[in-house]
Amino acid sequence: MTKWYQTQGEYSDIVLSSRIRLARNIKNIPFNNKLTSEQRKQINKSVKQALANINLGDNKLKFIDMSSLSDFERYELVEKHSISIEFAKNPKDRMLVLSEDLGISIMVNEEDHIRIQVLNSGLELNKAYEICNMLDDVINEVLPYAYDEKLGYLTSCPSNLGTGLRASVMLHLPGLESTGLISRLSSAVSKLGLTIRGTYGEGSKVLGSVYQLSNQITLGITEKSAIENLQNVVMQVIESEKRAQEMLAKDKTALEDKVYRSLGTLKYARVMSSKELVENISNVRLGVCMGIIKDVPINILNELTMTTGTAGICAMENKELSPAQRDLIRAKTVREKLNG
Amino acid sequence: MLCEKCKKNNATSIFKQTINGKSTTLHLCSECASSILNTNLFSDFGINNFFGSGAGLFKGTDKRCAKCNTGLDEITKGIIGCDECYSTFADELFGTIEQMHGKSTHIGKRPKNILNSSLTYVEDNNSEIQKPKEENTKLDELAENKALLKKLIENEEFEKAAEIRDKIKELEGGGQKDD
Repeated sequence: MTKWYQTQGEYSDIVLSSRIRLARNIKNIPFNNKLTSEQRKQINKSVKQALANINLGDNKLKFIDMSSLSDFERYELVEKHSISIEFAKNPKDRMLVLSEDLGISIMVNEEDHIRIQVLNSGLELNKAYEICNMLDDVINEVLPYAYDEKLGYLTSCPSNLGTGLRASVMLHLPGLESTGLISRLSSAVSKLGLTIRGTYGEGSKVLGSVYQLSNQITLGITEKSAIENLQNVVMQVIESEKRAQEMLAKDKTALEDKVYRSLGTLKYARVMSSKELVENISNVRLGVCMGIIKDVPINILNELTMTTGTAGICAMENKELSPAQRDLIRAKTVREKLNG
Repeated sequence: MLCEKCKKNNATSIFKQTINGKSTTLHLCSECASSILNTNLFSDFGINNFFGSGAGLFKGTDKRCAKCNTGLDEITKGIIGCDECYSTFADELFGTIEQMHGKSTHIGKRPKNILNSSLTYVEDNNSEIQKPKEENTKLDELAENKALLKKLIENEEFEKAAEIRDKIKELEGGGQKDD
């Protein structure tokens, strides 16, 4: 089945993905940090039962015992943004519900009992919320949630109280980054109740000019408003990024040289580190976005970004590999993908 | 709301201080406010301190959650043990929650099983407009019936659909019945 990142959505040239996450806890059961192993197992079982009869067509759900996965299998899911780093680090008594297209992932026994997440390609927040909301209702039909009339959905961290909703968008912003406007953007969005982070969320580094923009406030705001706010800001960021890219285009030769050098490296290199891949993909994406490169589809760049990380390469070969081995396989995979 | 320090008098002052970009808000009564002005309240802050400098206020209180036994020492580190902790430590958490979100009352989605909920939260005097429970229940029922109607029509079960349609009309026009 086609994976979510192999498709394209609205504004896919700048927006890599849209994600909605809902944090939920089951009523009358302690929060994550106070749970016994038995209670965790019971939660896994209950969530599995709650979702047993759901009909998602071909996009079937798999129920994965996290401790049954190898290290690279778990971290491959982090690289694909299906799970958090924290969830991969401690697999004991944790369950992942994952859809065939990898677009739906429900982390059970993460920071909260249940974290429902839907990922879409491009700027598709509403579509992602619809699915999240449906899954939320299906689970809630069977499992009563910890909820309070005043504080909303009760979460293990007060920062998620209220809707428990985190909407985030991954943006490729090489223009704003190289013109130095990104720091101004960062302080501007914080005033709007949003936050801008690195590629893998809180505290992570920025790789290949990819930033994550998300809502910070969850209490006293409806789901619809939170999503609309983010969507509106994203639209403005896209506009600013386009203007910044026009500035870069003033030095046409330098820009074309940078873009084509990267394309050349991706198409012909024999050894490639993940850092090199991310940087070159970023340059080629900029080239596609600005109309310099016309024969490389954006979804191929997305797919390479999601599948050729350290763990992704090991998963391809289904074994642990040394860095040198990985760099060889990575270069080969990229060559084959781009040269057809 | 009650003063976050003595928990006896009504809070009349709001303290705000920003240290290294981290803001702390405290709701205090006039007595505690003046005593704090003479002490070094904002001295004990750290990165891992969930309450920032405000934690100093709660030192020496041995409050525990009756349901999960989480103590105030854990709450101040940001460890919330269970849903009941939000009631038990409502006063202590109020300032932090308000500071995080700028608001203190939920206005979003409500779970379907809300009628079975027995969890209560200690109300504070500053609470914002709260939706009446009954009205929300009616809205939930209305939405559910509308969804059901759509399904019945799709399945061409028109007789049942008509019944539901009438029920929806009744729910929608409920307020004007006496006119």
